[in-house]
Amino acid sequence: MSLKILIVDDEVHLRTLLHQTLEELEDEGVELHVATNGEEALAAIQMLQPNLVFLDVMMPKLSGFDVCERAKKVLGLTNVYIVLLTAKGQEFDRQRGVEVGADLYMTKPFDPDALLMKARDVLGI
Amino acid sequence: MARISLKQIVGAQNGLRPVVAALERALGSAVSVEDAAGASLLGTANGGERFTVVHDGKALGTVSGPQGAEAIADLLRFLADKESERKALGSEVLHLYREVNLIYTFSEKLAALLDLERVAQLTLQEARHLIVATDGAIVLLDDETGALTSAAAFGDELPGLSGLKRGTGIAGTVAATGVGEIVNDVMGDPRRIKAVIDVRSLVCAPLKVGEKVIGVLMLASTLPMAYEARELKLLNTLALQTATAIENARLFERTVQAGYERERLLALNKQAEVARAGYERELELAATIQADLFPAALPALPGYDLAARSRPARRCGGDYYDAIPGGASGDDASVLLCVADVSGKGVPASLLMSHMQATLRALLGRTASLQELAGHAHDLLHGSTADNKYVTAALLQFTPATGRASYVSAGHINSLVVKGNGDVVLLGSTGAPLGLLPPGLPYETTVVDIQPGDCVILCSDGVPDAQNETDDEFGEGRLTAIVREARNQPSAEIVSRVFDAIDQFAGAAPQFDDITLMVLRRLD
Repeated sequence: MSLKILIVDDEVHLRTLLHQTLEELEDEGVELHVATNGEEALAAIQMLQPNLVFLDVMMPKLSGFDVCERAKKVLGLTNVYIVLLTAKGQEFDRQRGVEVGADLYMTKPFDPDALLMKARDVLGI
Repeated sequence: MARISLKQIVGAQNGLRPVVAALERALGSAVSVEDAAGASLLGTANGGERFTVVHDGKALGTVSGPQGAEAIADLLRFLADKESERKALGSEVLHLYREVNLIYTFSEKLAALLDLERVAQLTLQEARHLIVATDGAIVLLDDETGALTSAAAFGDELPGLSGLKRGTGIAGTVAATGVGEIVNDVMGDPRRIKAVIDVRSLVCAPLKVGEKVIGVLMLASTLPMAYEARELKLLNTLALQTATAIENARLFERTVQAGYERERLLALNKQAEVARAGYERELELAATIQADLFPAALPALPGYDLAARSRPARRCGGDYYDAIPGGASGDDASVLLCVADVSGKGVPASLLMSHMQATLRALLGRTASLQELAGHAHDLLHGSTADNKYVTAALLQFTPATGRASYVSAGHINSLVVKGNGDVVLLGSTGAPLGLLPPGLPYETTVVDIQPGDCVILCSDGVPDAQNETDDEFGEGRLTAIVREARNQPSAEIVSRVFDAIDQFAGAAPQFDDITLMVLRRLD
């Protein structure tokens, strides 16, 4: 089964950037999937069971916290590595991040090289 | 160029399957899509014609089916072109994003640095992330000499820039003009310097603070490169931030240095303060010792009027006066008057003065004559003090009942006797200063007969030597005139008049020597 990464952000330019950053992994057989809101993300996580999710926190309706909590706690998908993406300068509730079971959080603007390195690390490639 | 695969296009386009299904229905025949390796991506191959999907001169795969299936191949080719454009655009956006991110984090990192070399190193390190280079350097310009010195570098080539002058070489030109440059053919550039051997291409930006160039930031490659305007633009952006950070670092350095210097001066000042306080205490002590040596009150002598005053030039002087009753009792009882000037100042002078007083008091009544007393005092002082320590003294021992007096002057200035009729008798020196020359010196004695109405004046050289602002001296003449005029006044009045006259004479000139005056009047 191929490795999968799910990119979740409600802003199109960030989705594009994340996708572009990770695109070179496609050459190594990694599937990149995209979701544009929390609900879509939750459905995709359930269906695809991706190895890694880059999940924006600030999204309308279902926030990244909510998605993470349901995926990890309700669906019990503890094998899915979830990276929360938060805007820099914004107060980030670390405690909440820990509570919902997030594996890591990164700030935006993100360092593309660091993000790619993290993805390789998590996927083991 | 980003890699395009048919698998990605088919997978990414959710709307493609319904389109292909609709076409199959319209054509009445199945259509299939395979990638370049023949793996099925859509439908099942069942013969028919094969249409190759070509993108960028390369076959991505094939579409199999009836004649009309060519439209699917065209559609896929169109989608591949679009995907290629999208990827190129995405790649460009990502590159810009990297730049923004770099500048963003660069500013943050710079803000935390106050060390010039680390600022320079960080700049090179960050610049390398975005600009391909084998070598890099930051050289700083010395305003006065125009020399460039390396603050940081990587690679083997650019340390040679250190020592370059403003206006020389490519870096020197940028330092002089303040305008960045791209040189993709360094070998063919006439400004190339010998110290830089293998560099083929370079991009160089000035470090500017306002309009002032403080140095140069250069990235270079030993392999031929085609640096572009955007690399120079990025380098300029970094250079701008770096220049400000370097200025800050220098300012900080100067502030720290100034702080150290200030602390050093404060410490020195404190030391001086402590030393001064010590000196003050010593002076205070000396002044106290000395004050205790002067008699608290002069002895009352029936038929005589005795007054004296001493005013030191500094807090602690070297003059001394005393009036010591001694010798026999009754009509033979005598009194020793003394005005002395001790060599030196301060504590040593006070100690010598104390020595002198003890010697006089110890010897008084134990010697047959005043000249013997002076001789013994000389021997004792000479034996117990350093060679350069001595005392000049006017000693007058008299018997109040008769007015008969012996006078010994050990190297002292003239004393005066102003007679009742106004005549003046000068009493000169009768021997060497006490303690100065080897022991055994003889002292002469002058015999003085103090008559009723006579006035005897003993003083220190501070009286005649007092100077005014034009360095004229008060002189013995003025002293004599005042005493002669006031000879019928109480002794204390005569003392006051002399001091007033000296002060009036001196005007604003500072008192440079101690002034001591003793007046003995025999009443009518």
